[in-house]
Parts: sequence; C-alpha cells; structure tokens
Amino acid sequence: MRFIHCADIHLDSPFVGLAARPDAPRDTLRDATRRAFSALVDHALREQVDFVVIAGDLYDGKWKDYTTGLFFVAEMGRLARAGIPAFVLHGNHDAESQLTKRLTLPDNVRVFGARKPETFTLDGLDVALHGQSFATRAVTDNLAADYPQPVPGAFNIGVLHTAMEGAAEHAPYAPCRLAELTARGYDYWALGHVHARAVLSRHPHVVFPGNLQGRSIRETGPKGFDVVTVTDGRVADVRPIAVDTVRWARIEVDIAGAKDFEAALALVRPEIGAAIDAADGRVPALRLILRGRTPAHDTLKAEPELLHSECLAVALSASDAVWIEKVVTDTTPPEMPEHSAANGDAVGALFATIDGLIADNDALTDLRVSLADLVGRLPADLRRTMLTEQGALDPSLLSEVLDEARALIGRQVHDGEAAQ
Amino acid sequence: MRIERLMLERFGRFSDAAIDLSGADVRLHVLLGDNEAGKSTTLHAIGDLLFGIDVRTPYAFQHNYDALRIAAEIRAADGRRLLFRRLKRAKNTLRDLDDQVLPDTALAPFLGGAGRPVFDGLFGLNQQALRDGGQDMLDAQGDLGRMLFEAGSHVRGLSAARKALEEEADRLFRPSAQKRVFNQALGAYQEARKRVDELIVRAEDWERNAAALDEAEAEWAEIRARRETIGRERARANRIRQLLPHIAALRGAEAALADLTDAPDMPADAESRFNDAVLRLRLAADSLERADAAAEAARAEIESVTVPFALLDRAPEIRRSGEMLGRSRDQNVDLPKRKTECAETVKRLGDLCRRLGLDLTVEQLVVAIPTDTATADLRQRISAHAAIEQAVRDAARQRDEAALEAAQAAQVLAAVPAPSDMAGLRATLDAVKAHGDLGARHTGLVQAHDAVRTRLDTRVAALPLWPGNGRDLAAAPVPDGATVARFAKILADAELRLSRAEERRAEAQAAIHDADRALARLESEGTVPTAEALAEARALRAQGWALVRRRYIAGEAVGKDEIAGYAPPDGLVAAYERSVAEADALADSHAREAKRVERHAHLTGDRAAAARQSEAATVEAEAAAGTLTAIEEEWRAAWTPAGIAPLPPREMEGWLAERARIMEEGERLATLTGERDACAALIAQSHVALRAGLPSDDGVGGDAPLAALLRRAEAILDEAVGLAATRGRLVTRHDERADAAARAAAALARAEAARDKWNADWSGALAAAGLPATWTPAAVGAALDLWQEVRRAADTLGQLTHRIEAMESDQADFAALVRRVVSEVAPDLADVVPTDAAPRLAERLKEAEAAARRRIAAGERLEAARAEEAEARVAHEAANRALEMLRGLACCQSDEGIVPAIRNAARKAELAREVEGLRTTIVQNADGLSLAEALAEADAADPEAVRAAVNRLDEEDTALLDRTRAVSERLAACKAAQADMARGHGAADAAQDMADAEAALAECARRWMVLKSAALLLGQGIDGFRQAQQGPLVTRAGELFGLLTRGSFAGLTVDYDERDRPILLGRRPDGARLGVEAMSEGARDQLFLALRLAAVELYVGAAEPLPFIADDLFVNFDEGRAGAGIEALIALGAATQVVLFTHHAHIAELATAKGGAGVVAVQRIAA
Repeated sequence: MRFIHCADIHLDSPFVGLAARPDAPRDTLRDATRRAFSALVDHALREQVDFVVIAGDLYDGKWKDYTTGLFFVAEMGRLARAGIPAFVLHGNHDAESQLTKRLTLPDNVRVFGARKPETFTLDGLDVALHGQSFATRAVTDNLAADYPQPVPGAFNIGVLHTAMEGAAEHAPYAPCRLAELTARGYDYWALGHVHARAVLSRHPHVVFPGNLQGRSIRETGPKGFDVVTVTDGRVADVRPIAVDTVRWARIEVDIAGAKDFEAALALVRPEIGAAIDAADGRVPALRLILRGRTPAHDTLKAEPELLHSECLAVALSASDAVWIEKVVTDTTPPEMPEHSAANGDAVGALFATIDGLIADNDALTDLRVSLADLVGRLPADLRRTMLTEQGALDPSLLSEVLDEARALIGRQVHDGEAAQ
Repeated sequence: MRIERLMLERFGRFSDAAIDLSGADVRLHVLLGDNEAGKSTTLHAIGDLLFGIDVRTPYAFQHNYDALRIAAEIRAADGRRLLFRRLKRAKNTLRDLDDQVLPDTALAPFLGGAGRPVFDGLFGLNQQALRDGGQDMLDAQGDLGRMLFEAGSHVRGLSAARKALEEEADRLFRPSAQKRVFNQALGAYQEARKRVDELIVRAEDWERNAAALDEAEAEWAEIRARRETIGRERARANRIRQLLPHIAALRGAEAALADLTDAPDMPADAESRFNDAVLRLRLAADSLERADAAAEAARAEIESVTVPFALLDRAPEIRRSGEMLGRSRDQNVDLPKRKTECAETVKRLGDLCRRLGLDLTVEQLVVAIPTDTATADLRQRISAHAAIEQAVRDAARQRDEAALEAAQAAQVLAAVPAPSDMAGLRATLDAVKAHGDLGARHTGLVQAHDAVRTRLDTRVAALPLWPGNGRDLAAAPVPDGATVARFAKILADAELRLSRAEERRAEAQAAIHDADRALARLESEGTVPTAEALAEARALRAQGWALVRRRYIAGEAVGKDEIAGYAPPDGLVAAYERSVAEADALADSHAREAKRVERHAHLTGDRAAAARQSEAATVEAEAAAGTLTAIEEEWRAAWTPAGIAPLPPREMEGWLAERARIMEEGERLATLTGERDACAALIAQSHVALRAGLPSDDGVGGDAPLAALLRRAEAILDEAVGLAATRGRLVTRHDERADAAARAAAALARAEAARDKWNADWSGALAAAGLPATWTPAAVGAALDLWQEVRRAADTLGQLTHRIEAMESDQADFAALVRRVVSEVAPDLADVVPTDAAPRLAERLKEAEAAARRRIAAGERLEAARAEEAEARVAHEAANRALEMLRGLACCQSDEGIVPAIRNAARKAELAREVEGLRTTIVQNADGLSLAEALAEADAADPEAVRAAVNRLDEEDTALLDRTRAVSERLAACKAAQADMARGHGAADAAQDMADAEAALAECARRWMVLKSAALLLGQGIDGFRQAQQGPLVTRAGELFGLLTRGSFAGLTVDYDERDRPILLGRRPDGARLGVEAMSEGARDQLFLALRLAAVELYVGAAEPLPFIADDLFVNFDEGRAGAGIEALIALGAATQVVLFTHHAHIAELATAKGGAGVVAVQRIAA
C-alpha cells in the first residue's frame, strides 16, 4: 500500500515579503502553489498510489476566489478518473475559508467531519483513517484526545491539523503532545499546520510533511509531500518528494577582509553558485546577507542597486531563472570603532546621551507616538504585526528600530570622521 | 602623552632622521621646514606612529613597504615612558628598539582610548580645517549645539547628517503630506486590494450563474421537443403538397402513352441517322464535282510546261563543273609560281651535287642519296668515334695519373722507416709504472720525513733539561720509570717527614712566641722578680762588687773593656750601686709578687718546654733535611750519567713520557727514512732501466728526473705506435694505388681495343654508304649534312613536280568536262571558254529544274482529284444504303414518310420515360410510402386543408425559433460566464501585487522609523552634548576668543533665537553682541579655533592628553593675530604638548619672541 501525505497547500496564496522588483520572475511565482499541487497529482497518477491524505489548509483562510476551489475540484477530478480516493481534513485556514463551504467535490473526495472524529475505510485495503476537521479558525482544544481507538487488523492513520506543543512560529491550534500521539496505537499520524517538514517519531510515525511550496524567506529549503509505503501493515518507507517550483534560501556570506566591491563579489559568487546547485533545478529565491568588517562596506552600502544587479548577474550566469529576493548588507567598516560612551571625546559624550535616551523609557514618548502614528495608517494585517494588543508600538520592534537607528548614527559619525 | 623624540628611520624621503620634542618646560615646539622639506611627511608620520601605517601609505616611494619604520620615545601624563618602533606589517607592527614584538595594546595607556579619527580630527588642525570649521559655523547659523559639537569633536557635518536623515524620513512620510513614498506605497496597496476585490470570483456569482444556466438549458430542451413535433406535421403536409403535381403529371403522361400504342418503334437516333444520310448524299455529289474540276486544271498545267530533260540529265556534270570552276580559276594563278619554284630547286640540287664533288644529273643525284639506315649508321659511328677517342684519351690520362700516384705512394712508403722493436722499452715502462707514481711517492715520503724530522727536532728542542739532539737523547742513560717512581716515593716520604718536623717546630715556636708575649705582658706590668732575675741581679751585684773590690779595694787594674762589659758609661760605682739597688728591689718584689713570679715561672717553664720541643723538632727536621738532601743527591746522581740535572721525580715522569714520545717519533722517522731511501733506490733503478731502453742519442739527459724519462719513454712508444699506424696506412695506400694503376692500364687497353674495332668497322660502313674509303668521320659528317640538304631539296622538288602535275591534270579535266556538256546540251556555248561556259550552264540547269518541279506538282494535283472522286462515289453509295434501311423501318416507300414515323416513335418513348420518372419521384418524395400508398394518401387529402395546416405550423415554428434564439443567447452567456469564472480574473496576481505592496509598505515604514529615530536621537544627542559642555566650553572659548581677537571681542555669550534654540554670540568689550553670521571670516576662524582649543583643553583635562598638532595654522593671519594664536597655543601647551608645523620663518621667529627660548623650541626639519 502506498499513499501520499501532504498538508498546508495554501492554494493561490501570494509570496510574502517581496517588494515588487522589476527583475522578479513573476511568471514563475504566478501559479507556483497550483503547479506544486498539480505535480503532486501527477505523481499520484504516475505512481498509482492507493490514496491521498491532505492534512489541512488547502486554502488561505481569507481567500475567496472561487477559481481556486474549481482548480482543486479539477485536480481531484483527475484523481477520480484514475480511481484514487482523497481524504481531506480542514485546518484552521479551511475552517475560515468560504471556498470550503461552497464547493461541490467529486465522489472520490471524502472530508472529515468537524463535529466529532470520523473514521474512513477503503474497500480492498486494510486501512482506517481517523480525523476531525477544524470547525472554526481557532481550535484550541486538543482534538487528538477524542480520536477513536485503532481499528484492529487495519493500518490506522490519524489525520490531524495541529501545532503540537511549542511550535513557536505557528498558531497554537489543536495542541497535543507527541507522547500522546505515539501512545494512541495508530501506525501513522498524518499531521499538518507546521510548514517545516519533520518526522517526529518512527513506528509509529508522526510526520509533518511541511508545506508544498515555500512562500517567504522564512520557508527555506525543499518543499513537497511524503510518499508513505506500507508493507505487511508496517511503514516501510517515508519518502519526501519535492514539488516546489521556487526554492527559498538564505545565504549568509562572511566577506570580512574583502578589500573592495569586486573582492566581496568574488566571495559571494561561489555561495550563490552553491545555493543554485542546492536548488536542484528549481528557481532559487535567494536572500543574501553580507556580514563582516570589510573595507568594501562603504561601497556596498552606497550602491545597493548595483550590488543587487551584480548578485543577480552572478546568479543568472549560473542559472537561467533565479531570483535575488534581497541583498542585505549587514557589514561594518573596518576602521569604524565601537562608538560608545566610553570614548572620551565629543563622540563619546554623544553616544552617552543617545544610549541614555534609548534606555530611558520616558525620554522617547514623542518618538513612540510619532512611530505609532505611522503604524496606525498601515493596513490592518500589517498593523497587527507592529502593535501590541493594547495598540502600543511593539517593544521588540521599537528596540530593533532603535538599534538600527543607533547603528545608522554610528555610520554617520564614521562618515563624518572620514570627511575630516 | 608627549612625544619626546620622533625618529623617522625609514619613512617618505626620511632616512634615520630624528626630531627632538623633549623639554618639560617647552610649551610650543615649532617645526620649521621649507616646502618639500618633509613637513607633511612628519605630520603624517606622527599619526602613523601612534595608530599604524596606512595599508596603502603614499610614503613608501623611497623605502619599500617592508622597510618603513618610525620610532619614538613617548611619555604618558603619569610619567611612564615607552621607546618603541612602528613597522609597516600586517600584524606585530609594534616593536621595541631590540625588535622584540610589543603587544598591540602597548600604546593604549598612552592614548587613553582615543582612535586615529580623534587624534587627526580633534588634535590635528590645519588652515583648511580651520576655514571649513568657520564655514560650518556659518552654516550652523549660530546653532549652539551644532557649533559646540563640531568644534569640539573630530566629526564634521553630523548636524547636516541629522538634517539629511530627517529629510529622507520626510521624503518617506510626513503626517500632513500626501505625496510621500509611504502614501504612494499605501495607495499602491489599497489599489491592489481594490483590484483583488474586483477580480475575485465569488461563490455566489458562480452559483447564480449555474442556476441561470440550468434554467436556460431546460427551456432550450422544451422548445426543441415542440419544434420536432411541428417539424413532423409540417413534413407530412408538405409531402402531400409536393406530390400532388407529380401525381397529376403521371396521370396525364399515362393517357398520352396509351394513344401511341400503334406507332412503329424506331431507334432513338433514327432522325439523326436520316438527316446524316441525306447530308452525306449531298456532300458526295459536291465532292465529285470539285474533283472533276481539279483534274482538268492539272492536266492543263502539265501540258503547258516544257522540261529540257537532256539538260537535266547532265545536271551532275554541270554541278561538278560549277564546283571545279573555283579551283580552276585558282590554279590558273598558282601554276606559274610553282613552276618557278621547281626550277629553283633543280638549280639548288645542282649546286649541292657540285659541293659533294659529284658529277651527276639531278636524277642520278637523287638516286645516289645514301639510305637512311646507312646515314644513321654512319652518324652513330661518327658520334661513337668521338666517345671512343675520348675514352682512349681519358683512359690514358687516368693510367698515367694512377701510375704517378702509385710511384709517389711507393716513394712515400720507402721514406718511412720500418718500425724498430719497442717491446723491451714497453716492458720496462710497464714494470716502472707498476710501482705507481714513484716521484710523487718519494716526494710524499720526503715531505712526511721532513715533517716528522722538524716536529722531532722541535720537541727535542722543547724538551727541558736536554741540550743535545734527539739521537743522543735516545742513547742517554736515564733512569727508568720504576727508578723515578721509587725516587718520587722516598722523596715524598722524606719531604713529609721534614714538613712534619718543621710543622712541629713551628708549633713549638708558636708556643714560645705565645709564652714570650705572655711574659712580656707580665713583665710590662713590672719587672718580674724571678728567681733567675734575682740571682742575676745578685750575680751582677756580685760581679760589680768583685770589680769594685778589685779596683778600689784591691786596687787592681781593671781593664776598661771589662768595666765597659759590666757598666754603662756613667761609671762602675754607679753601676754597682744600681745593681745593688736592683738586686735588693728584686729580692723585695720577689717576695711581694709571688703570684706573678709563679705565673712567670710557669710561663718560663712552658717556654722552656716549647723551646725543647722546638729544638727536638729542629733536630728532626735537620735529620729529615739531611735525608732529603741525601736522596736528592742520589736522585741527581742517578741522572748524572745522562748529564742531566733533574727536576723532581714527579716532573721527570712527565719528562720521561715526553722522551718516550720523542723516541717513538724517532722510530717513525727512521721508518720514513728507510721508506724514502728505498723509494729513491727504486727510482734510481728504474732510471737506469729506462735509460737503457731509450735510444742512446735521445735528447733526454742522464740526470733527467724519472718522470721525464717516463714521459719520454711513453712519448717514444706513442711515437712508435703512431709510426706503425702511419706506415700501415701508407702501405694500404700504396697497395691501393698500385691496384688503381693496374686497373687504369687495363682500362686503357680496353679503350684502345674498342678504337681499333671502330676503325675496322668504319671502312665497311663507308663502303656500305658508297663513300670513299679514305673519308674521315669529319668529312663523312659534313657530307652527310650536305646529303641531308640534298634529301630535303629532292623532297621539295618531288612535291612541286607532283603538285604541278596535279594542277595541270585538274585543268584538263575541267575543260574536258565543260566541253563535253556544252557539246551535248548547249552547242551555242561551244566557243565560250570553259570558265565562262560553266556558270552559264549552271544557270540553265537551274531554270530547267524549276520547270520540272512545276510539272511534278501539277501531276500530284491530278492524282489527288482522281482519289477524291473515287472516295465521293463510295460515300454516295453508303448514304443511299442508309436511307433505304430507314425507309424499311418506317414502313414507307418514300423518304417523305420517314420523318413523321420517326417523330411518333420518339414521342412514345419519351412518354414512357416520363411515366417512369414521375413514379420514381413520387416514391422518392413519399417519405417511405409505396407508390400506391402515396397515390392513395394524395387522393384522400384535401389540398386546401393541407395548405392551411402548413401555414399554421410555420407560424408556430417561427415563434419558437425566436424563443430559441433568446434562450441560446442566455445559454451562451451563462456558459461564457462560467468559463470566464473558471479561468479566473487574475485575482491571485492582484493578491501577489497586494502582498508586494504590503512588503514595500512595511519596508518603507520600517525605514522611516529608523530614520526618524536616528534623526531624533542624533539631535537630542547633540543637544545633550551642548547642555553638558556649554558652560565650561563657552566660558573658556570666550576667553580664548578674546585673546585671539586681541580684545576685539571680550568673550562669548549664549542666547536663544526666535524658535527658542540656543545660539552662540560674540560679545564686544562694550557689551554689544554679534552673531556668527555677522562676524568677519577671520573672526569666525578665530571663533572656531577658540572653541577647538577650549574643547581640547577640556578633553585633556579629563583624559590622557594627546599632542596637539597644528599645521601652518596662521598662514593667513596678520602678524598681530598670528601672535595671538601663538599665545593661545602656548597657553594650551600648559595642558598638553603642542607642535606647530610651519614653513614660515617669521612664524618661528614670532613664536620665539612670544614665548622665549625656554618655552618655545624651534627646530628645522629636512628630509
């Protein structure tokens, strides 16, 4: 028996965090989630798997475009024509989605109910799938606790959309503990919600397949689904299959000592090459972070567009389609001292004052108000990421901003010194 | 920190230059240097010294990077000193003067945490920086914070930077402004969001459209069903309506057919066949008529043409004469020329005949031409003759040369003597050489011998106690080692005894000495009235008494000497009285000082015992000394035979050892002497043997060294070998030459034989060619050349003769031909010359041939007319036969009845076909009904009712059609909408745009926050600096400003502008206040300088001072203000070291004048 386990497909959801650049490969980005899902169906048909399990978050919650649902129906139709059933569990996004409620799905698709755990079996296969869909967006109950006892003699699969416990980057929905799952007596837990692939346990297997296509720099590395092979009622193999068309990677390059722009590029070049190789033929989406104390600092800082173009040129020389998402120059000039209050001169006094201001919570009230004013004009989603629940500026954001501001002043001082 | 000494060891153009900056009391160091003197280099070197040499320093033009070094001695404020060197390296750039690496932090205590920017920026000031600072202050518009910060820091333009940050932030966002980057990004976001809303396909829309689609499809189905029913009904009515006319026609046709039942059947083409026959009959008649006329015309033509057949019969000859005519005319011209040539050739042959010396006719001459074979044979022999003769000459020459060379070789060989036998000399040489290099060996032995000899002599000479030579030394009767050892032992024993005795004596002497000292001490306390002293005093008294009695009582003469022996010069009586007194005193004290006396007695006893011991020891020592002397005597005696006065035995042991070594050397010398002599003997022996082997008259003298003899012998042997080789080569050459001579002689004989044979064959060949037997090859050669000309001339003659004959023959043939034809067919031309007659004959022939052609054409036309006539007759008959057959078919006798009969038959057939066609049509249009059913249906129907039904159905269908159109439009619209929705409207793209815009917005917001925060922090930071520094800095700067402006300003004051910002103003002595913008440029510069100097003072007051380096600051100051500036620098010099670089001597003089020699130190610098 062989089946596909996937989750977090987020059909038609946009790539996050890219300020539109003219050189962005829009055609590649467009439909990337659809192409990934079609590739999954292609694989199912080609390999003649016995069924497909989708462990939640087919759609983005607020996404209302009915064509997205129609696309899903069409893909399920392809599976139906090949006689391959699909078991769908609704995650937090699906629960919120209008599409989930309005679509009519082909007969080969069975959806786990949201009121209580439900068990599906398949004719001719000793398999039982247990699962409970999310009824609402925020399910904070432990759903797994109510999952039924395993069906004796069958290969039992628990399908669950959960953040487990302590997946910090993900909303803490349907929390449960690993030990709880492994103790349930199931053979395989097909989980969803966490976007990074993880095999938390073997025999019984507890698997997050990760999402199907990375959509931001936070979702790096190969993305896809898992093909699970079951022999004699036991998991024989869990094999990840990558179907992403765009592959995200963060490249941190220490260019300390690079004497000029060219030398810095020379250090970056092999790293880009390695990242492109690692992208395995996908369109690489690369964020380059240059670090270190280097004489090239000033040029790199002064010429961000040139730097971006050069990096892109390097990348394009190694690959026809590649995307430099961002080049972050986090370097320092070699001779720039740590500006601090300890310096005995006016600069020392200046930084003493600045550090005092940063430390003094009250001193920056005006600034906070001023910054909050801007944040108040941002769209709600964006605003939420920058404000506390009480509507104040997020302290960690303020702290980061002040750090950057201090560094910026440091650079200005450095430039002023250089102007002497 | 102060720099005491700066040493520019390798830097710029400096090599080992030193600048002294010491002097605790010096407030201002003025370094005076001309342009190019290295002022800037020195200035830069100070920075490089303290903070490291720049990676790409421009000062490595004279010394390599690796060589650059600056050294200095520096002193911290707390008195610590450091003597160090700075190198240009990647690391370990600090060294002490012994080149030991110093840690990079070694300078930190001296710099107090200041970096190079602080040093260069705050502690370094030049004219340009001063000017820029003044300008910056003007730009600051009196902004106090900014002015204080920029003058008091090493950083320029920070306020401008703050402004730039604010401006950049403003460009991104300002609450009240709309056209900012942020708003644009927000607009883009909202736009994208709106587009997403617009483009999104909603489920409700989809469902609504799906319902409309279903409805339209249902209506479409209903309409379609009704239209199908209508179609069927309308089809039936239409069928009936369509069939009715056909049925009527069928019925009519069937009736007409019945009327023609009796009409005869005729072929379908009967009428055309009839018409054809009639036509062909008429055509045949026309043809007959035309053929008759043509035949008649042809015949008339034939009769009218006369053809001269006789002339035509001669046509070949006439044509031939025409062809010959041209050539005949040419020959008439050519023939005389050829005859002339012929005569010339005959004449030439006659000449050749004479040149050959023959008296022959031309014909005879031609016959006499030698055959080609004979000619070729002779020519071959002639050419062979030359070769044969040449071969004989060559062979003779070669034979002579070979013979000569053979004779020479024999002569050379004879001149080389046969080698003598050198075996003896060779054996001797080998034997001598078997001994090796005797000369070298001998030399080596001599050298070794001499070296040993010299060494031996040196050692013998160096050997102490021995005045003689080595040989005598060996023979000298010296004691052996055992004897010496024995002496050494007994001597040592004797010496030990002696030393012990002396030791004891010394001890006794010491005891005596101690006793003496104790007695002396005792006696120093007063004379010890010892018994002995008493006795002595009494004895003296008695002696005196005896003398007194003898002189004065007995009156005896007492000798003066005797008295003198007893009494001092004062006289016997006095002496006697004194001795009486002393004896009495002694006797008294002896009784009184018994203890001292006892002590004295004890001491005296000890001393006596010690004296005894000393004596005994002395005796023993003397005995021991005697023994020692005896032994030494014996020792010396043992060496006497050898004539040596020996050293002590221990030393003589070493002497003996050295002697033994010398004797060993001596033996080695003897061996070497033997070897050397043996070698010399061998050399002499070899010499004799070699001499004997060498030729007696050899140039080598009898006293020549062996090596020379050896070389000579080897040379002689080499020479003999060489001679033998040479002779061998000569013999070989001689033999080869002799062989060559013999071969050359044989070759000559062969060549001569060939020549003889040729001579013999030549006669035969001449005879065969019919030439005189006496002719030489040269003569024959010339004759053959003439014969060749004869042959060519004879050939030419033959050809000419032949051509003339041919031409004459052609002429005759032509004339005969023309005459013959003329006589036969044109007698009128008998008198015309053939060349004129021939063309005219040709003309006549042409006319005759034209007439003949006309006659033939007429004949052919006549034949054709006859053929046409025959053909027309056949056609006529055939037409008649066809008409006859038609008449039979139509059952009539005349042609007139045929046509009506044919018409009836055709009508009957047509009606039958029509009936059949109508029936088929009816069945075909009866929608599957049989003919009978269709006829029955039609018969039953009412045509009017049918028409009405059709109209009704048409109306209903038209109405349905309109509905169909509307429904299908709805259907299409719904389907299109569905397809459109299924395709999507690009909402995902718009969503991506929205995400992009959101990212841009976030980035913009973030950037704005950072810029805004930085601007705010920087502004507040500068303000904080102002608040902290304002008081002391402004006060001190005000004082300096007054000093620098020489009282033009009294100081500085702080006020606030209209925006309530603190600003800096200058204060005049009268209290008037002046803003920076109102100050002169010079005043601004001085204000900046005042602020800077005040800032430096404040800095050095709080941290480790650094030297203040001023670079030609006062170059643009008038003398008064320059003086004031120098005073300000001297004032600063109290707080930290101040160095002023200048290339103006007057500045240096001014400084000296201002500060005095102890306070201002001026020195020149020069690279």
